[in-house]
Amino acid sequence: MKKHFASNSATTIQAFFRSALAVQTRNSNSTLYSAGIYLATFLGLLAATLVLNNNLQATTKNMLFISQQPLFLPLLISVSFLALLLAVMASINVSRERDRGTLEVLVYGPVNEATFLFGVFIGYLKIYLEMLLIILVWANLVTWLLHLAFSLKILVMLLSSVLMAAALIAFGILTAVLGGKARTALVFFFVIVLVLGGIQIADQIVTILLQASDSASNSMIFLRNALMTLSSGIQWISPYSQFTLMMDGIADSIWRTYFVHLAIMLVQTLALIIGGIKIFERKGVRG
Amino acid sequence: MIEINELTKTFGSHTAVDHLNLKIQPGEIYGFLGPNGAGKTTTLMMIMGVLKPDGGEARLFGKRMFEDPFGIRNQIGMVAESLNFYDEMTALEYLQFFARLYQVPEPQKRIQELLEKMNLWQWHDVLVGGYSTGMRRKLGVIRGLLHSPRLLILDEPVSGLDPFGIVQIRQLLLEEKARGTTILISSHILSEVERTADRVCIIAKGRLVVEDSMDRIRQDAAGKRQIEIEMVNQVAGLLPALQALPFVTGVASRNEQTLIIDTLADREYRADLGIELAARGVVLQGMKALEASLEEAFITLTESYVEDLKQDRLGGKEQE
Amino acid sequence: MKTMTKAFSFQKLVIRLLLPFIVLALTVNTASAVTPDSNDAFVYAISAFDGQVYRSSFAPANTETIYLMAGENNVLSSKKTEVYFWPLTQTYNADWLAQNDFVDGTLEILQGNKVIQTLQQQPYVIQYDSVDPVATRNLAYGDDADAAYENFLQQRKDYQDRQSQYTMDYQAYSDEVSRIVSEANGEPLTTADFPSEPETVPDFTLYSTEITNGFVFALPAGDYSIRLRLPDGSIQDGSEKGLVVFTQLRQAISYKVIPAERWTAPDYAQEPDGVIYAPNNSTLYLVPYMEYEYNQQAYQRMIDPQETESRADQRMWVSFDPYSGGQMIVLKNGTADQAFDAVAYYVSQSSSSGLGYDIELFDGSQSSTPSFTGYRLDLTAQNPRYQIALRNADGSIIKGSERQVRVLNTYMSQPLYAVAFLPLLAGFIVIISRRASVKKIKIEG
Repeated sequence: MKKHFASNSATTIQAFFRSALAVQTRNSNSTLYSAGIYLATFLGLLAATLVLNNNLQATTKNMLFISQQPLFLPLLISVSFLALLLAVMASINVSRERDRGTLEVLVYGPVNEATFLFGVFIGYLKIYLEMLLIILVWANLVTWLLHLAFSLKILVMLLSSVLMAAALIAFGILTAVLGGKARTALVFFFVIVLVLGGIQIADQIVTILLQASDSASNSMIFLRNALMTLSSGIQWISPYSQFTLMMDGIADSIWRTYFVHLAIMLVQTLALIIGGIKIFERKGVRG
Repeated sequence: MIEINELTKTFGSHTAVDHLNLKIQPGEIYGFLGPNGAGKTTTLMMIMGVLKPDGGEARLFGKRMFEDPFGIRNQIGMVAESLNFYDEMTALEYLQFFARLYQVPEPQKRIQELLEKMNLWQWHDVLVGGYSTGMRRKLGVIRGLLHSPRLLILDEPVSGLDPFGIVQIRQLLLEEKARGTTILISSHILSEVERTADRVCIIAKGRLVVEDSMDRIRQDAAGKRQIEIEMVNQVAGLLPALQALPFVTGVASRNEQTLIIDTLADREYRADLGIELAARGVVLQGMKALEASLEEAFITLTESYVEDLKQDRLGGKEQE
Repeated sequence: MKTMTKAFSFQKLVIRLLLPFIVLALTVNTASAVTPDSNDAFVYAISAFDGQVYRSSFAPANTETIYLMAGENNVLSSKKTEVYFWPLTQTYNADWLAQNDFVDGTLEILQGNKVIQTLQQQPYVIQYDSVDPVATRNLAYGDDADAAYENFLQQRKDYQDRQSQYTMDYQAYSDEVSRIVSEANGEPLTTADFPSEPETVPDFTLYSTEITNGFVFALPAGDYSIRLRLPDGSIQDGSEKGLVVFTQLRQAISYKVIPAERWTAPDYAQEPDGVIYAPNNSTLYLVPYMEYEYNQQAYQRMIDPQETESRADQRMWVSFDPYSGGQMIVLKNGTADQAFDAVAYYVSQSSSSGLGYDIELFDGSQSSTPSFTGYRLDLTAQNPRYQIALRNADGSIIKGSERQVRVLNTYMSQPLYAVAFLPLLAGFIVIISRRASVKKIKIEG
């Protein structure tokens, strides 16, 4: 049996990527022909513009603004928003394919759980890259209009954001696999994101409250310690946290920091996508 | 082509497929029939590798699915009963997607050829979401045939089609058979199965009831052969005389000139009957053997299973 | 139904997990701060040189590593004191008033497992003039400590004597003025009729610690460990710690940037690749400082051994002494297009209701010393991009002094929103093209 597999492995790998690429093309075309992705990118850029305008107003008021990378924060906001939305879309896409039966039709052909999920994954990653081009054009235009300094670090930052998007999209796919139906998958997605994000925000709020206060009960101190511990743990598993740490490395040209966190994000992405595939294979296309 | 050995699948306490054994020969059209809940779709899902069997195995082209899933599936065209499509794609885009998946050579030519055969080419740039049920059914069949598979599996291929559509599908299937394609059809439209299938199997409650050629099933299920005679003249006392013949089991009169005579099913009795009629002075205008319908055979063979199923369900409800 | 049940139970699970935290947060009893328990513990009192002055801190038991700067003398003192944990700040504090006992012994400095230095405690003082503590700081130790301290005491005494004399002289002057006024009988008086007011005694600005004992040492950059060997030969509990001696990573020039416009605040351009942005037709004054880059964690923990926020993979710039002597140049295509020297300026604060400040050339009449000495840069939109640098007398550019200065188009704030519509434009084109190429009709029957 092993010999039988070995002789087919090269063809199997070829067939795997061929099928995955076909699925990817279908998915990305379907998304590109709908308004949602453009709206999401627009909203992200709108938020970025608000931040930039804030800096402009500060410059007008204080007659001075000093920054290494004034575009970093606006770009972080827009790419984070876009990546999060693509993760939601990937989650809905996988669930809907299963719900409406089109996945079963695919599986009758040379598509299995792994090729399907991988195809969805690279499909949304491709869309992210395409939207990233628009964001890059925006960054260039804005730089030219405002006379901002444009550095190669912005390109590095945008390219690195692809990993964050990859991790988030893989996470979205995993929630779809765990949840089954589209609504359940979305509940999984948002509950996990809100809990993780909420803990980090709560940690900051409680720390600020305690710093401002003259006294605190043991329970508040326990809460602060618990949140601090949870928050530092979340930093390791959150693609967003890892990406911001990478950005610190880019901004300060500390490339060791950059590559360490890049490696962590790669591991996160691989774990999420492989985990999703394994669970999907166990559950089957019919759930 | 397809070998199913002791295939079994249970869902909880319910056995959907129970030690099923089938063999489908290359190049034949094989009817796969059974009442609702017989286990047909479950069996097809296990053949396709979508469901994992709890016992037994299914082999396609001599291999089990997991041994070469991509290689095997590339040779199968599956047309499921449910009409699930990507409604946001045009028919052309939809077929191009599958053509790419199956690596169809000259895909544009093949797609156009099939769409034209099904009178769908003029709608090729319409979103599938706008297609009628019959058009979607045809599109599903086209998708199944796109890559010229060695094995075509169809689950209710003509459901929802108008007579023209049914004829088109039938012609297509016969063309595929002439090409050497093995075809497995599961359908409730028995007349269509009757017209096209070489062999048929009937399953009920997950078990094989019968598997044989069409003729044998019809005849064996009926338990008799029927001969229709058309007489030129009427002869008094003919009916009781015919009734008394040892090979005649029943006589019915359709009208003054036409009689339906039931004979034993062990052999052909038209010659014997002809001699008896001539001896009694009957001048025949015509004599022909009547074929039992597949529908009648189906009902005969499965009605007890359907009753059992009803009783099981009622019994289950009482227990609740 | 099954799926809905699953989703519902997951939500329940999440709420159950969060409930303890919610309950804890709500059970705030409003009692005052918990009285901490203190105990007698061994600590190192640290006087660490931060590049400019000496900072005091201490390393309790939970501090595993002490961070010190390379190349300058630093002081560690082995002591026992009352240490208590303050939950609010999650740090240990020392109650020096309650207990402040020296622990006798020798300090061993190890590299790897090898003792490379053995130090005895010696007396030391840290002194500086508060007018310019950086330039005047002095760590006197060993035999010099006594002399330095004596000198300080003498100077303080001299000041006190002068102050006393002034007080007496002023009293005499007051009395004389009163007498002259009372004897004038309404006759007009001139300043010539009055004696000279005695000169005030300048403030005493010297500072000195008392003579105390400690281990004074300077080490090159590297990783070490320390321990205190007691007179009986044993190692003091809690005295074994790591010692990281760090040095600067880079050196550059930072700028304090002061906008000419009133009601603004200065900012600092520390990062060499940072860009200074200002609106059109604005004027900036740049005051250069020498800066050094350090490992963030090492520097922060040198200042506070118990801090936990810093990161070992981050760096920070620390500005020190003002840099003088360079000429500022504006570069164009890599060559100096303009050059100008540093000029002294005076910042006159407006005392009226208008508030704010005005920056004027310093001419000596506004005050005895200028507010700052720096370079003036006038920015216009005609030349929105500047590259500035400092150059030495020999014409070489001082490393790390280059900065980009740009005129920001602040009037583009509203048009910026239009640029955000780019994705919608792209989407419009794509979707319209798509709709043109397909037919969306419903075919019945």
